[in-house]
Amino acid sequence: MPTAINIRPTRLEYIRTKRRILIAKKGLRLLKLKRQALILEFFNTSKTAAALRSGLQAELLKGYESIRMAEMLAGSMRLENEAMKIPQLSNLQIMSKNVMGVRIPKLEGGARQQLLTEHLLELPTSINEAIKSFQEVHRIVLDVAEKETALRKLLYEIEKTKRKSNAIENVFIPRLQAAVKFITFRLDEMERDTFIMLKTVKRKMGEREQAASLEEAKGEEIIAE
Amino acid sequence: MPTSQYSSSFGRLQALSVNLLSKETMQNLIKAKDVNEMAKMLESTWYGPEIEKAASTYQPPELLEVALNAHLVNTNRIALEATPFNGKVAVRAYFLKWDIHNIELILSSKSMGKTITETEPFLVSSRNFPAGITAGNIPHDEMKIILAQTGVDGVVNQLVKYPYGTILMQHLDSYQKSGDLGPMMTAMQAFYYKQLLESLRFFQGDEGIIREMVRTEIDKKNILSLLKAKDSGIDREIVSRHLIEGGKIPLNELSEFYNAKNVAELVGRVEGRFVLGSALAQYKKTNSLIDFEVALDKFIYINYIKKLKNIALSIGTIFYFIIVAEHERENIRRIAYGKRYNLSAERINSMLLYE
Repeated sequence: MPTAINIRPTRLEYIRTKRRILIAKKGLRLLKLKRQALILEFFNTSKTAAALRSGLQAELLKGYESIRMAEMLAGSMRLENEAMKIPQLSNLQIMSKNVMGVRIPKLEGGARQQLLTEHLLELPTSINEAIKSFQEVHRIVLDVAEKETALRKLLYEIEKTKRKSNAIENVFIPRLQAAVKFITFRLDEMERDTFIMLKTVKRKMGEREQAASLEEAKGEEIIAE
Repeated sequence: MPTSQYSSSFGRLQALSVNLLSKETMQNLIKAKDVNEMAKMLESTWYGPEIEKAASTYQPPELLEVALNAHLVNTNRIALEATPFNGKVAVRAYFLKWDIHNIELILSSKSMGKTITETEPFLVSSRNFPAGITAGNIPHDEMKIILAQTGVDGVVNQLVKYPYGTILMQHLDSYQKSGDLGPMMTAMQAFYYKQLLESLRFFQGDEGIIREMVRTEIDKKNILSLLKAKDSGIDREIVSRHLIEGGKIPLNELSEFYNAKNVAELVGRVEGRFVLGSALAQYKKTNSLIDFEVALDKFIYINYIKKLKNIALSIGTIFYFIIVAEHERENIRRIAYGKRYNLSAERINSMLLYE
């Protein structure tokens, strides 16, 4: 960042600084737009996350209630036995999605295949309901994890964008403007200097011409006498 | 007049039936402060010895569950011993359900690659403190050999000496192609009910009510499958694979029921055969199918099981004893977990199967 001390007060530098101010202002506008878009995305995601969280709470209550009923109707040992029969979850795949340059995670997989649907038909109703509830809980937990990670990343990016735009708005542009002011001042000063110098030269030349003409007149008088 | 071969078993089981808990005792259990008090109250009943044995290892309500299971193992053994030769096939066929439960568990664990140590504690066996219930058809040592097999194929091959092996072998190819155990499990269930119905032949002429009960049990299973499938929006083709033949409602009629738009409409179609009105009202409030299962159990209890008691000197008395002992175990367990989770006495009562 140039300081007033190491700026060359030249026309070229003046033009260059002026151009940098324009670019900085354009960048600032873009950063503000990005920040707005990120904030919008943040609020949308946070609304979804909040809805998912409250849904998760309700689903967890339902899940625990169904586990209680399953224990009551089928017994905890049968429940454990059936839990053992449930196929493993498929691997979780983490992809990413680009939102205004922010890479937010997108979870795929992690669920069971159709096999379990058939398996559910062979289970006591209470255990069936408990499994279904916790399948739903699992789905919501993955969604919540995805949304909350996205929220953290968006928040970090918003902060970063805010810091950048503040730096441009409050530090970078004012410094460039100060540089322009300094260059203008120096150029004006130089112009004034030149003007004064020219004036002085002109005055001195005038005085010299006047003196010469006086000398000449004096010489002519002497010749005439 | 010749003496019935059931007179000895009738006398033996009648003497044991005195120990069955009365409705008042059940109500007292519901009134108990907590599960510990419940366990104390049960110590003075015929569950006492099993509770005392299990108390060193378990805490209520698991203590009660282990003791109740151990107790049921004993009552089942006594019932089988008390059954005369002609009826033994039917009683053994009824107990097949526990073997099937074990085999399903072993197959699932092998399919998922779980180890013996992970599976063994859950096995239904006749050890001193079984975690489950024994049928006695597959001895515990044999079960350990089956458990030691590597993979589903090994288990199926080991089971060939039992009828289960032949059933499972038919579906081994489809399992190897799809990795889905569903067809095997459905086939086992179908085999169970077929065996049970076949074993309940008319030796004396009074077995009709038990056959009716088993057929209604099949209907119950089919209707619950339809309800679960409708609730989850499963394809008709998949559901039809899980329907079992032999019930009072023919399979094509059950398929017709599945045309219903939703659970409520489906229940409406079944209403002519089962009384599910209050369960439907509860379903509309809670969106849970559990009450249908309880209502169907109650229906079977009221319409069939209670009647078995009145057919003295027949296999009906033995089945009555076995089923009532099972229901008693169910009821005590429901009360115990109801107490643990602070459910109201009214809610607990609604879940119980009473005489």
